[in-house]
Amino acid sequence: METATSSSSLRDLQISKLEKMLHLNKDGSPDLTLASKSEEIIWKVLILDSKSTQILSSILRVNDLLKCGITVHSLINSKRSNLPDVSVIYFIEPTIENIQIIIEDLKNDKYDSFFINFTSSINRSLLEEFAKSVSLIGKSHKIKQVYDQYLNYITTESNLFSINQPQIYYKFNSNTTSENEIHNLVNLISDGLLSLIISMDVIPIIRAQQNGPAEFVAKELDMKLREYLNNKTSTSQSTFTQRPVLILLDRNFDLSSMFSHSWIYQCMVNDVFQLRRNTIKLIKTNKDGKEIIKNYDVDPKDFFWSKYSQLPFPDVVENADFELNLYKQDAKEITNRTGISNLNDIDPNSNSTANIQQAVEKLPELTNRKSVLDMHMDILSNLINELQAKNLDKYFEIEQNTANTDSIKIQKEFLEILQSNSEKDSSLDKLRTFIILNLVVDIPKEYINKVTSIFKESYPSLDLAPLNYILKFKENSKLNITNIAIDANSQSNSHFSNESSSALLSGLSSKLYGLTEGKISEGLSSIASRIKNFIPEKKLTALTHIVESIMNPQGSNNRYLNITDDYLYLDPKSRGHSTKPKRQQYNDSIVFVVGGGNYLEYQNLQEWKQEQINKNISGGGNVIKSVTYGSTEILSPLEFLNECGRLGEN
Amino acid sequence: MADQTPLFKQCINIIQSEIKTAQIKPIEQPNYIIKDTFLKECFELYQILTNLNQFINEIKLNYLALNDDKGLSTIEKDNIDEELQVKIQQTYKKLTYLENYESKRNELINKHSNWTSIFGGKSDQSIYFETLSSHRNAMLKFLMECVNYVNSKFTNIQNKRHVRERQINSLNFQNIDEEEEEMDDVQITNLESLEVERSGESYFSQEQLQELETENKEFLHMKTNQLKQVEKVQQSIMDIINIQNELSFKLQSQGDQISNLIDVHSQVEMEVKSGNKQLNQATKKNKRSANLLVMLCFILGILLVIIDYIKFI
Repeated sequence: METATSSSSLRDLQISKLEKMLHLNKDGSPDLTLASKSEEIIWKVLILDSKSTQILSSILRVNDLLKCGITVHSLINSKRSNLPDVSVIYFIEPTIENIQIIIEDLKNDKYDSFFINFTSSINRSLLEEFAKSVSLIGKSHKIKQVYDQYLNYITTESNLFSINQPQIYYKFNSNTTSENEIHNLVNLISDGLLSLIISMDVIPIIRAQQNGPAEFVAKELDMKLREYLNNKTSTSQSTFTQRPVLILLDRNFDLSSMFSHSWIYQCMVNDVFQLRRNTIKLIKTNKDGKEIIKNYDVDPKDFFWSKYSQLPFPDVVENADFELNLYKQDAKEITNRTGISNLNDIDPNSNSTANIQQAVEKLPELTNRKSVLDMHMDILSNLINELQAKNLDKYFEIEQNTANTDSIKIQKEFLEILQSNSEKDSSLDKLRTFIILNLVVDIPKEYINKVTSIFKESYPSLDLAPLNYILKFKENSKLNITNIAIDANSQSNSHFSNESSSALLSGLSSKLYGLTEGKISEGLSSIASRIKNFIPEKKLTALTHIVESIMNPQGSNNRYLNITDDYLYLDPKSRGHSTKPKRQQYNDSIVFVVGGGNYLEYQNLQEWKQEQINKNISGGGNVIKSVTYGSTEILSPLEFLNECGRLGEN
Repeated sequence: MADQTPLFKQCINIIQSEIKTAQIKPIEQPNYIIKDTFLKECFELYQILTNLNQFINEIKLNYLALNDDKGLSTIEKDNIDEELQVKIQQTYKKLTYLENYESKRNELINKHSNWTSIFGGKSDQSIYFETLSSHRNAMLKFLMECVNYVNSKFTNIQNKRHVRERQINSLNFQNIDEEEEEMDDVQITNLESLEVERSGESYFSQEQLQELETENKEFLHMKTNQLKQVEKVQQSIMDIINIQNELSFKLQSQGDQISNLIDVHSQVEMEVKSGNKQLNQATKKNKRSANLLVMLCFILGILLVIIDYIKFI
């Protein structure tokens, strides 16, 4: 087994593991089309279940599968036909139903030889049961491999993963959930984390927030890891490398980041459209008011996405323009060299056939680039339209300034926005901003009443349940959480002069709308570059502060140190009771939020990491190599709003 | 990742030693399962391709070496070129042959299934044919990609070789005149000897001689230019051949896509037709049952009247 190199990203790791599985768990290059050695089995059928489809589909496309020799892939519970001369790979959850289907397939001689892979690990009794039924049929020779893959998590970005357990926040915070259910959920979550840890091949130190789901998960995971370590026969673990830290947090520690509007391209796409497992669902309204739904796939090979998704939106517009010009230049160069419009252009000395050949070679790459660019142009122009229709920038502006401008002024501004109308229904955006306002600053009762009455008047259909929940939530935890949030904001915002930034921001909206008038590609760069100056300085989210104080205790703020000192300290490797927590530096970390995560926090963490690396290059300091962010589910703000709404109803 | 196979095998051994299971005969596959040599042939083709690939990998260094002593001689290289080209063409032919076979088989089945599809919904057989054809199409696509890869790899090293050779030649071109003179040695000597002969016979003046010399030089220059052009033309032809190859791949893949589209289209057409048929049948059935119901009511009514009449009596 290869040891995890912390430099390679989580996504690369998972892709290589999956490809190895498709290569029948053998070593060597999984891309069979490039192979120079003949294999015994080339063409295989892949059988998936719903869970493994999600894991696979977010990183591998059909063409990638074909290169690994997968000709047909189908769901395990769909009706499949016999292919007696083809081998089969199963990649499924270890459940009794799935095992029964396999046995049924085996009985009917559906395929030639069977390679069975489980998403997590199969427990002993089930395996024995399986073996028993197989040997009763008398076809045990057909089963060539049984593997536990421990791949029970979904990675969409290079360092972002999700365990895909929906509605966790609701379930953990609702009082209707039974204890048994909670226990099951904790079990599922810790299973997912165990998968992740095993496939990264590290044994981390666990730090977890106390008194909440995070603590349960941490303890469960600790137990499971100990069990795993006991069962592991060979301890080939290299002890020299520094162990990473796993930071487990409750969603409750910072709710505001779940609701906030953001300028980051990826976050905006997720907010305004839908970004699910690397598929962007674009909803356009054409002139007749009809909605057209378009699906775009973004994958690791999408150069534009991987390069610019983490940048603020205006920067992305600028870069899109730049890339488009670059493409145009390349295309022009090729046509100039090969296409002849006029007899005088014929250069008797040039070797024109060679040029044509070059052009032919380059064309696929160019068309590919063009299609990617077209896709992002479409997304961007739609984003601008939505932005304009909903006045999204205003909300962003207010949310940015909540903590540092004095609250009365902000409240006034918010009232103004609340009463203004936009082209499209933006009631939910207003509600989100108001929730953040509530979370971050103390607002007088009369003001809340006033706002709710306005909400009820102008948007009778709007469900105010989420707000009710947030108000209750704030009431309950006034002492703990709000303080952190306020600290986070006041801390980071002190970096830049608030007054000028708010003035600049208000100018931004009017400038931005100028963009949509003309075509997006025309003359955009100049405007975009001006906009760039208006973007406020990056600030760290509460999550990033906590990660910083754990990973680099020397360089961080005392307030957060006090908070994180109370966190649970569990070391699965140590015998007996874990030692007293101490402040220590870590190079690698896995951050996991129980109850939903978002792209904003992910991007914020990655940015912080990059900053640390840069600092490191420039001289001294703690070496921070990787920060992996994960959650039970990656949610869009609206989805989280719905969850809170359900909580508010109870 | 953890390998559970040993544990699994162990379990099976234990159970099998406890319970003596009679060896069960393999279940007879339904008779519609197609048994042909398609898989075998594909496999052979794949083996040929991997061998070719391996061969290219092996000769790459020697092939690209410029020095004839170390690497292969030019003639050998040319031979390799030719043979590989032939081989690759052969694989293409084989592939198109397999494709034709597969498409014909599909046609046959479609004709056949037109009959069977009248009877009810999707049978196991039709699902089998569907999966089989998609499986085989994917295999063909896979092989196509392999061939393309091998071919592009080959053309790449071929191109590299030509570029290097050209560079070397251009280095030689700097003293091209000498070379050309050498090449045209016979002619030149002939000319010179002619001149000598002539000079023996007729007395050319010094000026005339000089003129002749410059003329000769011009001729020579023209000749070298011509030679260069010929070389260029040759190069162009080579390039054109390559472009042709590439275009043929592109065409082939496009053809694939088109045939795919046609397949989908014909499938949709068939489905629509069968749907229409079903609808017609359903309306007929409905009519009939409605008639039946009316008749039944009528008969029952008459019966009732009769019974009533009998009772009345």
